[in-house]
Amino acid sequence: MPLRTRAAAMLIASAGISVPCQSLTAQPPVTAESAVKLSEGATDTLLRDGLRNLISGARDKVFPSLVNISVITVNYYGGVERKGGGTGSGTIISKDGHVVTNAHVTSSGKKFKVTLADKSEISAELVGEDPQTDLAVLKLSAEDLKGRALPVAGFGDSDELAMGDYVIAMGSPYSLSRSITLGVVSNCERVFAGGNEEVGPIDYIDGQATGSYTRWIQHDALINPGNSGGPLVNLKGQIVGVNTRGGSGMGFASPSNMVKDIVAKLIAHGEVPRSQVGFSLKQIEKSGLKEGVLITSVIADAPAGKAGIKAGDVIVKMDGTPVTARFAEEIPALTRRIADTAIGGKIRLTVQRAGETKEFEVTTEKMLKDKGDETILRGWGLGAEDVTEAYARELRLTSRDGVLVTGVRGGSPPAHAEPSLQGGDIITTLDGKPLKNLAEIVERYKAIMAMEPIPEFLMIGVERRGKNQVTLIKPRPVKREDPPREVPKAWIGMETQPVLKDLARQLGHDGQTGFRVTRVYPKTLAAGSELKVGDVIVSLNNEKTAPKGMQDAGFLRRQIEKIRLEDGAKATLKVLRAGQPVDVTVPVERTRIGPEEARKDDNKDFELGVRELTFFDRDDNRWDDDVTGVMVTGAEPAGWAGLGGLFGGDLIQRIDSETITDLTSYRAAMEKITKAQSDRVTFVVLRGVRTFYKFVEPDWKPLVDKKKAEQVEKEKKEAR
Amino acid sequence: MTSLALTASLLLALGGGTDSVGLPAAAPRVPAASADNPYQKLVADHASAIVTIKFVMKMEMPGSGGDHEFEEEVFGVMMDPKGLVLVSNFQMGGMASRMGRGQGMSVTPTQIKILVGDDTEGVEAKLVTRDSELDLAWVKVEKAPEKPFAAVDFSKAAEPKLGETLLFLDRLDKYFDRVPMVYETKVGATPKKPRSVYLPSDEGRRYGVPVFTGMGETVGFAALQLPSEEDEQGMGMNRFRGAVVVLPAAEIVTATERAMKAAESAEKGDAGATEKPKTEAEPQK
Repeated sequence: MPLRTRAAAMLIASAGISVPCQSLTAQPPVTAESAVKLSEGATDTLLRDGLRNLISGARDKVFPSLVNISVITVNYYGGVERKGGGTGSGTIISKDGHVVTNAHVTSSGKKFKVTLADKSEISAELVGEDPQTDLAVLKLSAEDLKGRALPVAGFGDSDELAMGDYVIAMGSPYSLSRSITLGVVSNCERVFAGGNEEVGPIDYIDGQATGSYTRWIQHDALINPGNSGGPLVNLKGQIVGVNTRGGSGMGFASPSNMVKDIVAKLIAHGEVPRSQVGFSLKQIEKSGLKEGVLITSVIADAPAGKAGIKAGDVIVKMDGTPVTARFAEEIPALTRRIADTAIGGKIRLTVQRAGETKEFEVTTEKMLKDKGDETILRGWGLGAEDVTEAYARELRLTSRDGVLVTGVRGGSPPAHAEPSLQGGDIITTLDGKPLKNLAEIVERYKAIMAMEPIPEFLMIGVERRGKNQVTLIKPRPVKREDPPREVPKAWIGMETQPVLKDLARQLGHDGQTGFRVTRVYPKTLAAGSELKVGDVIVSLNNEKTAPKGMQDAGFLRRQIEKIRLEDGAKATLKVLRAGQPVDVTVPVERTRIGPEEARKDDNKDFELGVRELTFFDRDDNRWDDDVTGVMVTGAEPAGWAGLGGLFGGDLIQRIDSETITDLTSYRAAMEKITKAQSDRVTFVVLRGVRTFYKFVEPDWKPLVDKKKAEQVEKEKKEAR
Repeated sequence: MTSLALTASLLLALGGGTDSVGLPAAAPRVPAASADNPYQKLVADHASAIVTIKFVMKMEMPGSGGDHEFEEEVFGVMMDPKGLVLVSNFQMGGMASRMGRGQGMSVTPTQIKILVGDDTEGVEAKLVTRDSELDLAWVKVEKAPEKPFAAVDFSKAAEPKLGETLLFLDRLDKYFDRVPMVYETKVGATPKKPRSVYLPSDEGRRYGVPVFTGMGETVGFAALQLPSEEDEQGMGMNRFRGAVVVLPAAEIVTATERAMKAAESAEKGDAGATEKPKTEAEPQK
């Protein structure tokens, strides 16, 4: 069979579908068998058109449900809350608006916006995340959808995939939305073993280990940042994977059979309840063992430890079924089997220990979260997190009560304390009273900061690596301080350049050096004098101003600054104008305030910095006196103002209906908005010569999710 | 020397019960002054006026994720018994400001406290104003003290010649309990441009400290001289990178008078402190 004909037959066979050839000839549908009978010319066309039709068919089945996801994240470093943004991809998988994506796309996300195929933007909420498998589910807002029908993509069977199968990656690489790439399956059961050859987590998402349960579909359909969470699709138009990792021309997708299971649990429970027993497994390759799977470590107070299992035991049967993991690829299935056991269920383990066979019954417990909820107590510059069971166990804490310090802002009250607080400390008491959890410290923090006056001292008890310490912090409100001002000195409203010997000769000044006036600032006293651009100043108050080189560029300014500033002070300049000496008397005034010294305001809610308008701003922008406002010094990119499109250099002229003339009016307007907790704020800004309307949407949510806080307390009670 | 400072030194010489006027009772012992030992005499006369300034440096860079703060501790010299301290502007955030100029960075020293002697609490103070060109900043205590502070008088200044001894009076880090330290050097040069200063003969001197002759007379204040923005242009790769110079006491006095006058005006809400000065130009005809 000619190669091309054979190729056409394989292509059609692999797709498992018939390709109608009506477009080529008036022939009945082509099957794998009939393809080999086609003439060579027709086969070339069939090969090309057939593949294109298969790809477009698969594309059309999934594309309508492909979405782009924009996330506003909040992370906490060093006692400071930092906002950020990210994008990823996802697929609508239910008529109710559920979207599957990666957990690392939604990780730390506080706000989600999903762009559909018709380019409409719909807000979404997080239904649940499973960092262990790096999968997450969002739900589109019913309010935004307004009852419209959604296109839904279906899952295929990832177990049916074979190496060499064509797959299509869909998503938004580098935020270029709605892209597809084509590749083949390179490996259907990829696992990652670390340096010690144990299959374990490949990464951490929000402090949670990920990748231990996954046998990845490795493929070579090009994927890039932004593809995360997007579907891997077979030529039947079914989702066979969710693209999760990639690089160097390789992609790794979570198989759809696992995705389906995880998605169902996330939708039902908001999490994936898993069992754990508290041991680690390793394949027996190179161990000399002929069967079983090796237990490499056991947590003493976890179910396996309590049941008597020891590191070094070799499991040969699980619930009566022989088990062997010779290679790393076989570990994830075993760990998943344990994880999928009902919480509180029993697993019978038959182990080999020092030549003896032993039986153990292990009662599983709920898999513990590695990381708890976190927040920042802004006024104290303190990052705090709930103490999880996993953390308590890791550090051998006797109790989960208290909060973990995750970071301390430099210069903050806890940083000033003696001894200062550090990341890793567990705060156990506040103001002499025991502290239970994150929600409680937030409430007590708010109460303390609302007191009049705020107490001078606050005693804090901490556990630090087994030592019980106390310290005092001095809580205080966030004070607004302005940068110090320069001493005003004598100034003439002009700019100059040094004129050295060669330039002086060319100007016809017979080699007489001086300072050439390059600008006379309008609306200054100098502008009202006879001084002109082009004048070369050769003396000031009868003292020569003769620069020797460029290093003397500041000489004239320094000489002017020596003049005593008093009302009516003047400077007599001898200038050369068109080669002729002319005496010019110029009134002296005080130096103008520069941008570095301008009074500032820093709004923490909007993450917006502004300062007062200065003389030099007006001159740079050629703004008249009737132009008023405050200058934006910066807006955090993922803060409210940044997301609304405000940039450094913008002049805020109006906020909602309030005209902004100076810092006082600006502060008043912002206070009004904060009190009213406005949903939308309109900033009218002047940028260069253009006016822009910027719509900012504040999000006034509380610091801690009360529902999550209640869940934490419930877990604590269950653990006891 | 002012009468108060003279009294202080006499008391020290006599081994009097109070270490110095205005200091808490637990001030560090200073050795009895010895005419043969200029270091001892200098420390006895003036160490009490070298004070510690503790503050939090707050740096804001737009788009950098918020403020960055860190604690700092520098030394300054009390120049007025009512509580005016002279300090190097570069040490009070001026260096960070200079490095961040043009990028919108704002550097503000906050939560300023002055510690005198063994005091660990400190008295609250504020940065009144600064002169970046001269590397000077003035910090003033918020509340007038009950007793005057020991101070260095810059009004009667010596004018050493080339080759004569200079004594820098400093303090060591808190690790060494902030004890006074004397550095000796010579006048290495007396340039007149860009301004009249004394250049110490060896490098590596601390700045932000008062400087005296070998006889204990006030010469001036050690500051860091860096080229201005205009001066830097055209200097190329071989640009002058700065040097520690001694600003003469007369210059310190003039600069302080100007600074205090400006600060007073600012407090009164003088138009000079705002964007629009009183003296606005008439439109050009």
